[in-house]
Amino acid sequence: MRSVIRVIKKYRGPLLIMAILLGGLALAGCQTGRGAIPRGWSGGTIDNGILFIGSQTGELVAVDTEDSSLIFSAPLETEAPSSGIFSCVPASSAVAIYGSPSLGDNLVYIGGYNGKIYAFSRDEFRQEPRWIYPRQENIGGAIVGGTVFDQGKIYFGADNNKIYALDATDGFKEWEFETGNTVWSTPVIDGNTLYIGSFDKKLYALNTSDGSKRWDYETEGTIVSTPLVYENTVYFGSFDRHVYALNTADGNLRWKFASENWFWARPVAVNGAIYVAGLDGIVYVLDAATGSKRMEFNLGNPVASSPVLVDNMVIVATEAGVVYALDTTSGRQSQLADLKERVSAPLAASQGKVYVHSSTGVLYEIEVQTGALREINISK
Amino acid sequence: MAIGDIWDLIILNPMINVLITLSEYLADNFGMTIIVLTIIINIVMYPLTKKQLKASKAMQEIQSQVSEIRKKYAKDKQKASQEQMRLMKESGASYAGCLLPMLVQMPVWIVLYQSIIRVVAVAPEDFLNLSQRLYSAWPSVFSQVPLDRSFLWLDLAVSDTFLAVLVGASMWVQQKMTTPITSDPQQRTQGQMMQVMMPLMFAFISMSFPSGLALYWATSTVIRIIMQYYATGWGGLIPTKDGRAGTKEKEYKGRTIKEKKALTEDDTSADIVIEPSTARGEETDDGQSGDQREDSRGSRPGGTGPVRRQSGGSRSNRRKRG
Repeated sequence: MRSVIRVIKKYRGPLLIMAILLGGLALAGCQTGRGAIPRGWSGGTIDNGILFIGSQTGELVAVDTEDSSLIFSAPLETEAPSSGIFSCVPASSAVAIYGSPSLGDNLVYIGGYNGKIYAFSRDEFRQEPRWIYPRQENIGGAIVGGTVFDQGKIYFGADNNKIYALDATDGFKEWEFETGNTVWSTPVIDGNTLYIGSFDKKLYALNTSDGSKRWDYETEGTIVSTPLVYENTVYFGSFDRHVYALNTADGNLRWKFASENWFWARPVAVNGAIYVAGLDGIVYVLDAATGSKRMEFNLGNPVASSPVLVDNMVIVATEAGVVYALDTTSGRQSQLADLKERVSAPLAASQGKVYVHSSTGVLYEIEVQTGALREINISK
Repeated sequence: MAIGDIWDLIILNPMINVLITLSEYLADNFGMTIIVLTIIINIVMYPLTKKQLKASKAMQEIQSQVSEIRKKYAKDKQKASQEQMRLMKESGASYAGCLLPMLVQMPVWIVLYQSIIRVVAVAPEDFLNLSQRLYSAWPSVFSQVPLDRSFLWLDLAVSDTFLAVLVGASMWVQQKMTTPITSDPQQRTQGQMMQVMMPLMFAFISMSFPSGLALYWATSTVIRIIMQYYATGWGGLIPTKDGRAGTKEKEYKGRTIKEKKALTEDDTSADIVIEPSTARGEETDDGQSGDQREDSRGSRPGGTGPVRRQSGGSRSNRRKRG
């Protein structure tokens, strides 16, 4: 012990400098976005009174929407930390889940940031997944967007620039399509066409049967937002700060609308109007046919969370955690709740209730009519 | 408004936007952007860096004399302090000269470091954070993100072992050039420890951070090595044939410091003097270790270095006695 103290005393100068440097760097690493580990912000998917959602502790969780009770929780798996000792990564970290689950006939599907798709039984509530794609390792990139189930297939995009179609029953690959860059957008299926955006700045329309390209449209920015198909038009926002409306048949531009920041959230269509929320904190109400602005709601805080429609109200949550109800008939804006927690996850709605997944892992249930708030802790 | 917000508003956000805009003019190559911005910032700050390097060098050069002063006036702290100040004044060395330019530069390095690590966004959370830092008046920055993270063999968002080794190696060279060579055994040991520990530590950290940051450290260190060389020479990196540090000629306000080693153990009455420069090319022996001095006592060519003038003693006499 004495010798240790002697050494410390002897080298106190260099040791102090190194301690300051190490502390500063570790602190800087923790404070940056890069230093922080991806935590995920899965939204919920509701069917038959059960809400399925990915928790921030890496589980697929099922919640009974009648009494807000937790039905089951199954961990995807745990993975070794991917970053170094200075990036504030705990010794073991759960799989981050960004995409909302999709529901098949008997299975529920969910993608992980670890580059795997998991299929769980939606009735038996078993802890073990029915299948995992790929069987070995991962697809070579993170999965950030959600999965979509349609006619016996699962569709999703990934960080390895590819869009996949899997057999929903056994998880075997049906086809894949390679874009020019990362894919974080959640696909949308309309008829036998899949629409999805990519970091290569293009929106793709693919044939769902074989993955062949019908058309693509290039914008000037990355496309992360989930497209909306409404009345033969596909609507989406881009990092070039524009909202685009393309003809679903040939991908020709119908109109585009300029704003002040990126678009991350999926638009909502109501009565011939498109409600699209931007990271500039404004919800734009655009004429679906012409793109002209009917009105706007300035929420004063960025919106990354995709809004939902409940009755005649568009429900929007800002990054700061304030939830608003925008009346589509009167144009009135009212505050439903102030969660005081960061919200980036897409909203889910059922039977007059809205479900908001906050950054702290709490699922909030809000009655739209009364504003009654209930907390459901879905993270371990 | 919190200090962090002010920092972000007036320093960090402008740097992030400049970084992204610059990448547009460098063929969307973020690696090249990091290198170019590091060079630009170094050029802009060169006057300060030069001042700091000169002042540090001057401090190094008087280390042996300072040690002697401390030894000589061990019982009279005030006198030791006065003598030290006098020596520093005459040689052009000052603590402020070393520290002030460095303090001014620190925020610049910190902001560059922070902006690089933020622009190399990987997780979705990083992008949302970045979106609030972009200038709406600069339309291109919005379309520019995400930047292309590939550069040479690197993914700038992922750590790279080879680059980490480069960071460590370049830092070792710089440390070797700047570590003061002193006759004080404790200071010498500490210097040697820093020479090894600092590069090791940065190499280790580089293996944990995105390689974009390591690229900035490597570039920055190489630039500092070049500047160091032009300002003060190779220092302790390449010693001269007679064992002294490979320094460039040092002049302080038209004077050259000359040093001679004490001749005898009981030579306590010797004074440290700064002699006016008589000829260009006379070098001090700031880079010489205490052991080396012992070996070359009284036989050093040119008799350069601080002179411990002994009453009645002359250079030729000392040689004979040694």
